[in-house]
Amino acid sequence: MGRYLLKRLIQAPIVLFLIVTCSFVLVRLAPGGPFDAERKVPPEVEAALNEQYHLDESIPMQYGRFLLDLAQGDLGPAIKYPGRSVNAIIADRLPPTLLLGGYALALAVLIGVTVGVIGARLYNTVFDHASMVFALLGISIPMFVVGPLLLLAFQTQWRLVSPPGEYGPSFAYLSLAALCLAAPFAARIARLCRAGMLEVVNQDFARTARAKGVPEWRIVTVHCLRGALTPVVSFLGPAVASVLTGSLVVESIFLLKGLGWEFVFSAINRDYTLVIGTVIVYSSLLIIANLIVDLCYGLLDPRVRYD
Amino acid sequence: MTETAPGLSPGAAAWRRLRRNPLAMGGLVITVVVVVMCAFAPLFSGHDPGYQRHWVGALTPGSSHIDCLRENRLIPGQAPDVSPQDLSAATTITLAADESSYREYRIIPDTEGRIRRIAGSQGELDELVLNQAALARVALIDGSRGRNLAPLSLRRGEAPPVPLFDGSAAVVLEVATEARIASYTAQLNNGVVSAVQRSGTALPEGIVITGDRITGMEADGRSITTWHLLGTDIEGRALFARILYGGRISLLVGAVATLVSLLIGVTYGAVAGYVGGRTDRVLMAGVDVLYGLPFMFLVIVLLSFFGSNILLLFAALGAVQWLTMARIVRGQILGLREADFVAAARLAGTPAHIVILRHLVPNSFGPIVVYASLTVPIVILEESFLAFIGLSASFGDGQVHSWGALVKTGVDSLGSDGSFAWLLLWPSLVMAATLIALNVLGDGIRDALDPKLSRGAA
Amino acid sequence: MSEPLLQVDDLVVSFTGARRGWFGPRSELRAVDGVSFSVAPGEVLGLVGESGCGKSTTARAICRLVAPHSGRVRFAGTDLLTLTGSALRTARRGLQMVFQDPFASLDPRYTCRRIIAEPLEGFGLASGEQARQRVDQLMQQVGLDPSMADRYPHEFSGGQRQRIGIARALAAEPQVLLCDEPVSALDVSVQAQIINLLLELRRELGLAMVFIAHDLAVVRHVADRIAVMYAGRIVEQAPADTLFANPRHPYTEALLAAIPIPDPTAPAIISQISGEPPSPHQAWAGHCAFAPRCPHATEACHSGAPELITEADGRIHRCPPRQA
Repeated sequence: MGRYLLKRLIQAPIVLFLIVTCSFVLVRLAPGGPFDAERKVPPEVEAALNEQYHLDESIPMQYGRFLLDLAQGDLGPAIKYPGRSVNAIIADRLPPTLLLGGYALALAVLIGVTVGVIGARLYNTVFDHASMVFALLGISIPMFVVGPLLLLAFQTQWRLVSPPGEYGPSFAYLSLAALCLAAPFAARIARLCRAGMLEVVNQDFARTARAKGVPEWRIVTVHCLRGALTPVVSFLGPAVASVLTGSLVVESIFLLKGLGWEFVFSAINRDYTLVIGTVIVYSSLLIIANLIVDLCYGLLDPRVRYD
Repeated sequence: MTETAPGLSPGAAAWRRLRRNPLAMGGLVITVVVVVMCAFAPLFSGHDPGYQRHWVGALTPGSSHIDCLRENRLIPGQAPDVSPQDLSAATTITLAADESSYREYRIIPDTEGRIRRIAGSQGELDELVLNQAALARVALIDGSRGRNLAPLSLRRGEAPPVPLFDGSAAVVLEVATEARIASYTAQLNNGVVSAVQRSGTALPEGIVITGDRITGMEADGRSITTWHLLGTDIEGRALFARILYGGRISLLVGAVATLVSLLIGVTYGAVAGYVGGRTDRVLMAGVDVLYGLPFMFLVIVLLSFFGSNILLLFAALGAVQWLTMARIVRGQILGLREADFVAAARLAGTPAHIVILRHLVPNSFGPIVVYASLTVPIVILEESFLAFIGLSASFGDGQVHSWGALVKTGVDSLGSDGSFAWLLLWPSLVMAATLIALNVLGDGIRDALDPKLSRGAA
Repeated sequence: MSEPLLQVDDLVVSFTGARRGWFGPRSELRAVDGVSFSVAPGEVLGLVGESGCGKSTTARAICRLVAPHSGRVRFAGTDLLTLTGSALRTARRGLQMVFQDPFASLDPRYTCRRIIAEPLEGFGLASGEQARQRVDQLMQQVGLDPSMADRYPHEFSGGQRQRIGIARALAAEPQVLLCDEPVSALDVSVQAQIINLLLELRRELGLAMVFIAHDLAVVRHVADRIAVMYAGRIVEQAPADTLFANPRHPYTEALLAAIPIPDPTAPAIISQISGEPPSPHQAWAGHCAFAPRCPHATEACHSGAPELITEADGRIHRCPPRQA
């Protein structure tokens, strides 16, 4: 276990370095510069801008300078926001994304596990079938279809929520966005959890417990849930990545100006420094989340050995 | 034992089990129907999916309109060029054209979506009232889009009572000042226009009329109209045709990217599993490291910086999916490598690459097929996701878009009142149905190939 | 005595296990520890021992299905352990194997015909119509109806599947057949049929065999000479009759005593060995591996490693003479 953790801890910076290099190379190899889109930039202004952002230097030089700054935690100035640093923009945009993503993950696990467990206990009943149909819909219908429909219903038709004002979104509004983001993951978790439960429920130890007269709720929660949660936890690793990706569209649909929104904006506007900065932040989030998931996995299933 | 009926291969047995699963067969039928309709789109829709008719605008499903072109020519000595339909068999074509005079008003919004300026040819206005007699048509500043407006009034400093700007910098209103309809008649001789008349006066030069002015068209007394099963989008393009042609992109991306992931993943996993030892450890550590990469983010960066062409999309989405495939194949091969039949094949003088190709990979086929079939909908979903944030691949001069882009258009057109809902509904419905069908089919294939279930059925 | 066809000298096979601790050495597992024997043309050598003693690994190491650690395997004049790649593939054509599990040794996706034809293709022995005829002939030779050639393994019974495996081995036209417990996965009623088939083939084709079994009773009918293995080593080797009549090693004695006697009136002498076979992780640490379980073990057995003793009747064993 300790060795495994050490291995992962050594791996993390390697992955991060790979991502940094990958995105740097991708961005710099692309044809055209960041100021090409603006039509009326005179050549001397563009030259001055290029100099200011060191875009006139050779690529290896830029890379070296970039790594040096990065080592000091400085992601550089944002190209499309004059006078603002990437660090400041990320500090500004990260909280809504973390809030949305964390909320959505929590919702997904809560809904998914509840539905999955009940579905397995009520195996082959109307509830079971209905929940599996909903799970299939959740997996198949993209969240960018669900999102606008939710908004249309709750905001436009029934006026139950209002768009985010000056002080950020209301709780109800945020819940709506989180629900939209959580739906496909809740569906997958429900399926995994149900399948895991069904496999465990009829195993000998559960039967023994039942024969001993252990109450059914205790069998489910104490004896079976552990086994049923193992596949769920191993799904959470990739799910974190997908939730972060999904937040790109959910943030733009629900007009929550978080990091995802900023990332898409910066990618489409070719803001070199901001793109790389956001990718680094996302990758770090992902790596940390995966480490946590791995740890939970070990706690949940003592048979798992890390080697 | 004289019966020599050839036995059921494992594949045939799985197919038999799949056929007994009604849900999976439903999925298969829907998949086949969608694939066939998209592949042979011209057989199912006569419309050009990229043809814009801005004067038609968004029509509800089932609507019809006059089937004219953007520019309609009736010129003596030439074939009539007034409709996508073939009118060469007709002897007379009559056209009704709106020749009212129009006055243009340029409406410019401020950043909040309120009207900042109303600029007419006589100067700035504070208010513009459009009553029944002076119906207006909207065009974007580049004239690419149009729709008719109901009576309304626009006031400076206020938001327009109907969604007008859709994010554009300015719109042009064309307001009719005097209504006049002219009638043109062309005589045809063997498919060639012989004479053109306007209200009885001969026009030896013929006529050229833009589509937005045509209010009626008949050939030999038969009205020339066309019909749209799913209506049209805001640019007047046939939605049904757009869904069929767009499906080609989505399905192609799904299939090709899955193939790419299969190719990389199976090769990589098979080599790692068969060679084993240190090679295996190094290769799999590589996969572990790559697993930590936020691939979709890199794909977004790649596509937005290099432009989203379809080949890049194939490669990028395939590259995202091959990791899991490599792990699955490697695990399978690692187990099979020790199997006696592999030892027997080696003793039989079969070289290593043939052993991998003929024994190991075919025997890992079940998990490979299952994973591949579940990868297709994932890739389609990912492509639509990219299309939704504006990184779609397109065919036909950028006029044919994948399902994700159609859904995006639907969402954008939805407005605040839910008008144009069919533009969101139908692409979403077709896409969701296809994804559900593919998922159900994939689950069915998994069940059919699952040795546990097959033992139970035997 | 003629020149041996297959000669194995001091064969060692070891596997590396997990590391001990974070940076410790990898543990080593000696599955085969210095095995030597030879097989003359047409001779059948029985290799007997309890499960886990390394007899299957020995067979697999001989034909390089697992990589030996050290030793020498001379087959028909060439040293197999120095060869690689296609040279190895061609050199071991004369050395074919019949596997224990007739289920696992046949690719479930191949028809019977393809399975038997694989060596024909692999060694370029026949193709097309010629291969078809050869497969039909081989099937008849092992007692299968050639009309069943297009069936898949799962449509055959265990005994039939083992016949397919034998036909496949014969297709390569081998001189030595390594039979790795060829009957132990089969029903008792079928075992005799397969053993008779193998004996018949030996008579017809003059095949030499290494016949592996965990059961002396099976080997008795087949083998000319018997080698008894314990914990990766051969502890006794002798002509079959000599071994049965007069075993020297206490482990052989115990194995012989375990053979049930089909005579209800005979007195039941149950001599059983107590204890577990040693873990292959333990080396022979300088003493007899059987000593902890041996009823006759003396002080000397626990300290000095037993030497190989060759006796006048061709018997080779590792147990010093003991006082009666």
